[in-house]
Amino acid sequence: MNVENAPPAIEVNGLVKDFRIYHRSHGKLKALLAGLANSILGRNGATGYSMYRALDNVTFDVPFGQAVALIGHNGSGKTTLLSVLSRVYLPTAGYARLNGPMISLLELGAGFHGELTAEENVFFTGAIRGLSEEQVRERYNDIVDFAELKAAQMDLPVRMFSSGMHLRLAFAVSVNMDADILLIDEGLAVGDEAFQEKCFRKIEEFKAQGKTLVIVTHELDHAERLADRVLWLERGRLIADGATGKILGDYRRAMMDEANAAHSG
Amino acid sequence: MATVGEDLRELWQYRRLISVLAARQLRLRYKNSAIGVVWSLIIPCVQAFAMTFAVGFILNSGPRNMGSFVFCALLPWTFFTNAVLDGSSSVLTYQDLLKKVYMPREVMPISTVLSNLFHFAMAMIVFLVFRYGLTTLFSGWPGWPPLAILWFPVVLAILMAFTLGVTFFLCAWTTFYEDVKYLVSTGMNLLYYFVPIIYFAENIYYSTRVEPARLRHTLYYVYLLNPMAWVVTAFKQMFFGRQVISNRTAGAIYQSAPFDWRLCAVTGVVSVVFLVAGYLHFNHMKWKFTERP
Repeated sequence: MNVENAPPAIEVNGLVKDFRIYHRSHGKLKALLAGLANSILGRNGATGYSMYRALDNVTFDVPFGQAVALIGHNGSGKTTLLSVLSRVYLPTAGYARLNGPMISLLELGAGFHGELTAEENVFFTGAIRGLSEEQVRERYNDIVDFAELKAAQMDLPVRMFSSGMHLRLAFAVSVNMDADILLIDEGLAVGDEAFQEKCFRKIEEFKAQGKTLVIVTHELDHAERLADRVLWLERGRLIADGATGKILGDYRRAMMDEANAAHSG
Repeated sequence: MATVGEDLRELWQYRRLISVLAARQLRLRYKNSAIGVVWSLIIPCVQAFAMTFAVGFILNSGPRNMGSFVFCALLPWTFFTNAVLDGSSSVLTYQDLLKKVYMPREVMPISTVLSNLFHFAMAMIVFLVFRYGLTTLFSGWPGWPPLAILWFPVVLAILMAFTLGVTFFLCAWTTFYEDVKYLVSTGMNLLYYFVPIIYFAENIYYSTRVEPARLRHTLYYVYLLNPMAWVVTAFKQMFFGRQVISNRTAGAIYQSAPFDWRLCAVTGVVSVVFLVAGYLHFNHMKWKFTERP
């Protein structure tokens, strides 16, 4: 296969995402009437919301098999970018295209219901992720093993689980789905040290299998260990994009300068 | 923005999720109840008996077997109200999930309507037992339903189309303004009286309060333009055939109208228009659901 012509796993081009920040009065009758009156009179009155640009003209490609870490301050747009890639939000402008089956781990255990048993939740999560009952059954034992749960525990409603068991099960389900592209949001700080290590190994295994990873993280050590490349977002803009060692070095220095500046006042 | 064709194709790919979600809703509803699914059977029974008592016994109006008519009329009506009320808040219920995992948003209202279809099926069973079991035991065989019963799948499809269409509209609005939820339940209480449950649509046709006759006949057809009014009427026509519907003590004897396929066609068109418009409107709004205020 001609590598030059192969499409990248992820193409993001000119991506802009605006959010409306709603004021407290929004949706109240008074605001509605005021808005209506303004639009009839052709006036530019208060609309009850203001715009916030969460992502501003972000462009990058990720080739197949690459592991990318997204770093940046809180509110820099990392999670929004991951959400747009997972199709939770529609871009305001530009596009984000994924050329392969994707699984997003924006929140482990999304879709779990406390009243349902662990087994029912596993099958439900499989269905959300587009697996047939047959396919879930095939990997059911792997999931239970990976989560380090006993068969008897799978019949309990998950509200009876400890938070550790809950997260282990959620991670186990997620990593046993089929996908070429994995989008992971801080899903690594799971369970005790031993289980964390197991999760890391699983992710490294994915990398070895040639899967594409995008990881949002605040833990620079995690980025260092897993990523080939780092994207640094600041206020919705992509301000640096390059090899892990270099970008992380710059980022650490910037953090230091900032902390020093804050300290000296 | 995806085209309608792409949206529909994607929905088809997620068809299994729709049934899984519907089954999950049923499972959750009766999870911690002792008799579980039996509640689906008890609720329509109680409703029908209470109504029969109020209309037949206290008001002393309608024909002798008013109870079976009321029961029959409640089948589609209960399905409609419950499906619309549940369905319109379905996106809100799954809001947290939709913010984490991608799935077509249409899946939520559709699966909610389907899980209500299960309760409808349960109520149908109770009705058939009541009509052909209990009635036979206590007052003799009521006779087979007329040939019009063969229209049942068509009427059910019309009911489904209309219910889904209304649900799509209301779900899209409820997601942004929760006031809509209260508006809908109030509206349902009002609509109840514009649907022939405790009376017959033919009562309008025969009413002596509205003169001249041409006006009240027009009124009758306008009344039946409401798809729910026609569906409820059709349910009675399909299970009972032509029956005396005037009060047992009154002088004049009125008969119910037979099943009319022309009215069926009109209602079918109205319902499909609702379904298509509702679906398009829902899809137009659906990307804003995760960004609601």
